[in-house]
Amino acid sequence: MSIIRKSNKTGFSLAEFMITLGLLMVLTASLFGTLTLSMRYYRQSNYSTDLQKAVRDSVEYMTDEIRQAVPDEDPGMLGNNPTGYKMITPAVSSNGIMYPNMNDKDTDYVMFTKPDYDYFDPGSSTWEPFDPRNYKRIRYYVKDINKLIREVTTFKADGTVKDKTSDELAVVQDGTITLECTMFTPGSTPSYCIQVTVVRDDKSYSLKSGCLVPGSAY
Amino acid sequence: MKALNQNNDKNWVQRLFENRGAALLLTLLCLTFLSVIAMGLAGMSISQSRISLNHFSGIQAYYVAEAGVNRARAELTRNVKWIPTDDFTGTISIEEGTGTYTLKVTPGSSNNSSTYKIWTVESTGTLGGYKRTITAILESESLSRYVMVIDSNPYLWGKSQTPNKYSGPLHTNGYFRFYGKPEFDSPLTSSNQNDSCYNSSKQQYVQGTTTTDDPSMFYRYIYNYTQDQPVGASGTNNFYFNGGQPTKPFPDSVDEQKNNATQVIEGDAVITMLSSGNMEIICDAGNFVYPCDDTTIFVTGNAEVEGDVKGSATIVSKGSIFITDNIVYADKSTDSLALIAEDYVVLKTDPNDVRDIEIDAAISALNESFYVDKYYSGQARGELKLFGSLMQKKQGSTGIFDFSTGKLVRGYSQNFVLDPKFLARPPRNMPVSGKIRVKSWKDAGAFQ
Repeated sequence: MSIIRKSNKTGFSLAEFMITLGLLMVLTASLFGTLTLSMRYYRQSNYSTDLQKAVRDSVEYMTDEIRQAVPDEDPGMLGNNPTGYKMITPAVSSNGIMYPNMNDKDTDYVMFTKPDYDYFDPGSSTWEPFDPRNYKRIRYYVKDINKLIREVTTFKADGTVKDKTSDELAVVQDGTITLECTMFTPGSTPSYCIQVTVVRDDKSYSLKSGCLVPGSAY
Repeated sequence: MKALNQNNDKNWVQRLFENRGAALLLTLLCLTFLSVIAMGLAGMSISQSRISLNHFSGIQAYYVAEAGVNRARAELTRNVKWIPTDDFTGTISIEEGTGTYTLKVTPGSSNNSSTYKIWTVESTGTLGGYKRTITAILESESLSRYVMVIDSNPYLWGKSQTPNKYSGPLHTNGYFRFYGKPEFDSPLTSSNQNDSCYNSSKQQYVQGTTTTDDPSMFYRYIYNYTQDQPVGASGTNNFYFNGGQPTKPFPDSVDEQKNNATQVIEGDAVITMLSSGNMEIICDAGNFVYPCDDTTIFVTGNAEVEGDVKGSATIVSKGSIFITDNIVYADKSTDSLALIAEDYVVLKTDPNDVRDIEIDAAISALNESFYVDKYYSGQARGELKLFGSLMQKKQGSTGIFDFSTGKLVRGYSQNFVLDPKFLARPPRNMPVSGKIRVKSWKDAGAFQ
């Protein structure tokens, strides 16, 4: 008895092969259907997570940085134009946040000054508080409807702009992002509400966070 | 049996072409595929969970570090010379465990020679292996932050009753009494201490038939809330009034200023500020000249002051300070003068000398008031312009008004403007409230 004969005897018949192939195709099709559906849900959920993360991170970065705000004490008394809250008309309290303020309590951007620690050193006897170089001006705003931008401006001693840089804090592809800032004065300490909303397709996520500026109280 | 034997007879090549292992192979393939997907999902889930935990722990560590800064504030409020030991740690218990903070406090270079002090506090919070560092610059709360701060119950009149003007925040530890509609361009606050209308435990104000928990109504009226109320001045949008706010304790002696003084003058003294940047002192011990270079002169008796200020100086009197004429800065952006008296600060001019007077200074009358000598006699002298700040225990008078016409009859009307320099850098040895403020806040975990 030859090997070839034996092999032929125990191999697939065409019918068996067709049935197996058919079954495999059905199984694969159903598996792929399920997988495709799962992958779509996974992508959607991943995308939703990314949107939520973008909202959460944006609000957190902003509120963390707003807490570092200090009044720009440069009142323009050194012969330069004032660079901080003193440039706001009518005058507002020097609580660190420039916008929103008592004049504009609801804004679509937030602007404040924070120390530039290369110069800001109140403990030193030689520190000059009115030097505009002590402060950086930070501005968060929305550009091109889908980008949240953080802009940093530094100043020269004469109050003119030394440098201005912008970074994209969040970008929503094919969607929109909005920023709403509100000032409250419930007591003698102003507080701020920051709200970021992102929208894409039929999904919309929004997060609000309140914050105070340490040292802003009268 | 025959078939079995036949099977046993097969070599490995034959068995390889057998079709009986297809199901197992398929199952294994499916299982491997599904396992890879499951492992991927599990990996992502674990990664997300770790990110979330890190984030949560980072926030907890931040608040532990903030607790450290608050601890430093509390310790420095009790003792301005407090410096933690190198291995100083504090603990704070929260639901998830016990957080610890370490503190490093660096005093400012002028802390030993001024009432106004600065500290740099570095607090590192640790919880569950996570760390976060906050560097806060703290400062003594200077009372020159206000255009006027009072420790009693001042009357403030409306524009139709008096021409008095105030530009800058006002505070009283007592309560305000408003007559008419006085106008302000900055916040007003009161602490309502010893105010029988104010119930601090309920945060309520009871006056006439009105009971309110609205802090903007925590003041005394003459007629009613409608007729008598503080309002924002036209063209400004920075005014609000809130009662029931924290007190700003007044020191009652100038002893600390004496300890920090550049020179102590025994007895009375006449001090003339010179446009050369010096001050000339005439006293029992003779004549002296000192430069106005962050100089503090302490007079154990009364002091008489006038002249043009160039530089920065502080004049302190154990008694009273008398101002006899204008005191004007050569340069308002840089010069500063503080006049601190344990009793009164008095503007002493001729009641019939009709002209405006300007005083550029931070004035403090720790136990009494700032007033105009013989404000009740002579003519309407003019406007008293104060560019600086005024701190007084009681409200002093500068003139007399005809409330029906709103005109000045005798003495001076007030035009007080806060010197914005004092927000950033108070005059040396200016009285402080004893409270510690946060000047700046740096979070190592945030954008720098």
